[in-house]
Amino acid sequence: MQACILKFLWHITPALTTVVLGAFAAHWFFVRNGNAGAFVDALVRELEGLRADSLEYWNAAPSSQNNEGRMTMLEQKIKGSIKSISSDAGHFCRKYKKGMRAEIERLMSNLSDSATGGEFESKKRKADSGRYILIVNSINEVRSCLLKTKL
Amino acid sequence: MKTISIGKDYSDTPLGRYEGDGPFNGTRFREEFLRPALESGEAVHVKIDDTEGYGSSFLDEAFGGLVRFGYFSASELQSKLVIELEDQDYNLYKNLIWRYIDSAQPAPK
Repeated sequence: MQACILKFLWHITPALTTVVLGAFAAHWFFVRNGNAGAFVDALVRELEGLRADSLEYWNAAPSSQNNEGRMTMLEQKIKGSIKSISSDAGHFCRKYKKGMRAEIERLMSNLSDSATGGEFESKKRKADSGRYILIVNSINEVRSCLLKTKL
Repeated sequence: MKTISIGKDYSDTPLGRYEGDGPFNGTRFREEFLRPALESGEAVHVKIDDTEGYGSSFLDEAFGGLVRFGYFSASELQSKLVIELEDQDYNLYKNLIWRYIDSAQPAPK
């Protein structure tokens, strides 16, 4: 009886090992993809927030007594968002898409330049709706690059 | 070699482009810290990662302004200026600094 069991195990072990390893690989693949997708979704939400703040900031008239506090707050939010998105996107590339890093760095530089360049944080700033289009385009480029990883 | 830590020697919240934009603007940093250090002839190492972050307007004025105002050429800065960081999150700003230096055109006199 024991010999029979051993013989059965002898035959079944390779197949069983293959199935278990395959299950681990499939689990790892799907969990990793799910985590990467959730990471991209979080980054896209941050980009949406940046878009809303930039719209308000670059379409508002220069700081006056009425809106100076609000404008200062938006400047901090915009700078903070860009730093945070850049940091998170860098982490995403290091963990999930190493080949995308140079492209993301280039797009983040474009985004920072369009959102916080020109007369940003300057008393000489004027409402500049044209700049908002530049920012939206830069945001969309980053967004598209990230969303491509979900396909 | 001279080392300037923006956060420790200047401000951990540098912002603005022009003199009127606040006490820690890009023009003042360029004229009082960066330019004198570079004119001494020594290599200048600038540490950028002990601040709360930068607006591109500050970086463009401080670093791109060195070329725009004709103080140095981009190639001179490439040999004299070293941008240092330990925190990789600040790599964005390092890329921007070199982008502004490389793209700046000296203003006609």
